[in-house]
Amino acid sequence: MDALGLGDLASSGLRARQTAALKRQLSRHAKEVTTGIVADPVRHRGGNMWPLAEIEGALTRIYAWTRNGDIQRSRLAAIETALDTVTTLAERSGASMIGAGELGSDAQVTVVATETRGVFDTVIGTLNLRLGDRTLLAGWASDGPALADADTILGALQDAIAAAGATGLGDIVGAVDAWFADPAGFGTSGYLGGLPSAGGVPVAEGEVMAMPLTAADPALVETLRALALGALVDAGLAAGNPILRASLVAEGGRALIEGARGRVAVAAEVGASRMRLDFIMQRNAAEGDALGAARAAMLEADPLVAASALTETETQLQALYAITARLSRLSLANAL
Amino acid sequence: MSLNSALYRAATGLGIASRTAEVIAGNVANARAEGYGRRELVQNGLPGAGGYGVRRHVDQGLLSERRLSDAAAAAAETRAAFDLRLEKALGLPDDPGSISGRIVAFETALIEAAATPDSTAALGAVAARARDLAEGLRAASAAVQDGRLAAENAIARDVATLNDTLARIERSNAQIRAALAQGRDTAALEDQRQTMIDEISEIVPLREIARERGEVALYSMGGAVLLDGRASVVGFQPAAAIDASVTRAGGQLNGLTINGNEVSTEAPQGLLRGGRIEAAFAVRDAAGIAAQGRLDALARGLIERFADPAVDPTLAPGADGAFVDPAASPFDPAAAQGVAGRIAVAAALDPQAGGAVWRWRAGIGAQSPGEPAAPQVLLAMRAALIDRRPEPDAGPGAMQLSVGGHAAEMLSAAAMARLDAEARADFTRAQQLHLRQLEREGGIDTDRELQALLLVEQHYGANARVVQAVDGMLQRLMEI
Repeated sequence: MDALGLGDLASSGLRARQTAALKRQLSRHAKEVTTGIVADPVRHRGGNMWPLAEIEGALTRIYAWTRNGDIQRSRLAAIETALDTVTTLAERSGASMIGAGELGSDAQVTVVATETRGVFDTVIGTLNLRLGDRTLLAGWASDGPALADADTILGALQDAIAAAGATGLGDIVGAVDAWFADPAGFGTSGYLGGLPSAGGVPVAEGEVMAMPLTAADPALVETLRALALGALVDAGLAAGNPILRASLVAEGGRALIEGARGRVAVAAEVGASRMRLDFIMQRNAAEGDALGAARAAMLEADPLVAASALTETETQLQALYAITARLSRLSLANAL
Repeated sequence: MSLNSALYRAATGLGIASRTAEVIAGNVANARAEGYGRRELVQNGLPGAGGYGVRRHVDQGLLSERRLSDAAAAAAETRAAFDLRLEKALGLPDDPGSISGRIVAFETALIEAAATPDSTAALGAVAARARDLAEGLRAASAAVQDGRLAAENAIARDVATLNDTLARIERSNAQIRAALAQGRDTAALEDQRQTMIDEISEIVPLREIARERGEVALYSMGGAVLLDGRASVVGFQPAAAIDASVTRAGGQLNGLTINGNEVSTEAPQGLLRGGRIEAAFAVRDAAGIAAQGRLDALARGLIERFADPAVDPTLAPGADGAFVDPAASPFDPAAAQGVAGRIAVAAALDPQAGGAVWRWRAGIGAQSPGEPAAPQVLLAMRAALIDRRPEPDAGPGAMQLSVGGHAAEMLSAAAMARLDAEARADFTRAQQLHLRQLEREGGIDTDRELQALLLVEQHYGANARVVQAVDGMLQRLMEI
């Protein structure tokens, strides 16, 4: 007898539940269609959040490395330009110093010595290269200049020559060499920077771009030393001894020309760094693209599937409404 | 005389028809009431009411099965709610506010600061991201403890409801017994009692046993007597506040008593097992403790990785690094319980706590800011973060992971537990809905009641015709 009846609550309850379930589905599909991302990523990934965490981490890191790479690239570019300037100036000075020192008159020596003094100033200014407030060739001590100013260095050299009592060409050149090689000489009052950066700028996993070049690099110090010989003559060294003056200028000029190889090596090293950086940056970009695509694939709700599911659910819901309206009119009470 | 007897029979028929109409009217009126059992007028051979009585239709088997599924669904939902709370507290990796997101943000800040160690802004970002990470761990820890407190409060509420309802059912038993003794209809009282038992069946799954004189006894499926003649009293003393150090094992939290006797609350042997109350105990004493343990391990790993002279050469051996436990300096692994709720950035590194950001570059113990472009400490910190190590105190064969890896592992475990609990909740809920549906199908069908009413009308009309015919016969007799 009981099996013949179907309780009123059963049919209305069933329809209410179906309506609620369809509405939930509808809102989930609508969310997926509008955002393009699955409604519950955890469920979508079966609870395994490892791959997503890895990709998110890797992507964020690549963005950071790319920003670091941009900074590093601009630094390397600035250093390359500075080295270009130094090389050009050194070559031009070298030629004119040899010309004046070996063949020129004392007046010509004076003119070239004055010029050399100007170049000495410019080279020091160039090597005190700053990008923003960061001195690039001072190692880790990036907050101050890499080199002391020209007057200080020349003053120290004059003192060193006087202290050594040097008068002949060999003695003077020896005293200048000794001062530049002395940690208590150039190492203290000439080069003001810190140690070369052994660490450096991280630009990719396991890739740290070191910046070992400082103004205390031997090739650059040699250039300074050669220019200093000319600048010292301008400052009054060996005044009244035209032969010694000419010899000092010629000696400086020869050293400048001979130092070309060292300067080229330094520039080549910076150039190689830059190429390596470009290569790493390209790799980062490619990796970032691939990871971005993988991440999208991981969270993406297929728009076609989501849209057709939305339409389907909508149709179902409409049918349910129609049936609810029909069934609620069907009652024996209305017929009696 | 047989005419008199015919008249009497017809009058009885009229009486039955009108009582049936009354029962049908009651059924139709209560068609939408949950817990209303369909009434039917049946011949019961009892002397009162002309041998007819009202019977209340209830499928007892279906009812008890549905009550068990109520309990299972409530238990699964309690568990799923906690797991979801934990998952939300940890956050998904694509959310920058998640634990994973904060770890990556801190690591990224270190990477970027290594390119510009002389930038106060870059070092300030490292300090801020480190603070975010500590904050994230503290918030997740607080969410876990909130979940445990919510479970504690839910237990207290459920125990109060249970005691109150058991007492009401005991009174209802007495009323039904009295009504039966006086030969009154008990169907309405039974409806009421059934609804009350339904109310507590979510809290503790129970078995209803019919006793003499219309009474019922209630036993939990775990075997505890909840009501048999007298209602048992379930006792529970809730804690006012809960943090990581407040545990059942530590004696600061209470279990349950029945009539003053301590009973187990653990899953396999608890007397009140299988329902919401047991699930709440599991959250408070097992799931919540386990979640806190994993957060503590993550926080402890972070503290220990940075407290290393190889990372920061200015640290004395054994001294704290960038992350500290304010409750113990230097960090004490033996007192690591709840460290995720306390972890903070070392004051010397935190500009908001009077520290200086240059110490991120120069080291905590550095006397001066040193060379402004030196990146080694920052690089070493990042290396410590991604170095693969097992969790502190992990057994042999434990996974060797970076800090981010441990966080992802913890999130995956929580997410899988959540999906698992939800699948169980979905399953039990579907079962419960199915049984409820069956129960409703056996409920009032107004169409059927109205059909019966049509028969009653005919029946009434026929009996009235009999009375009229007998009356005609008697009139004839009088005329003779």
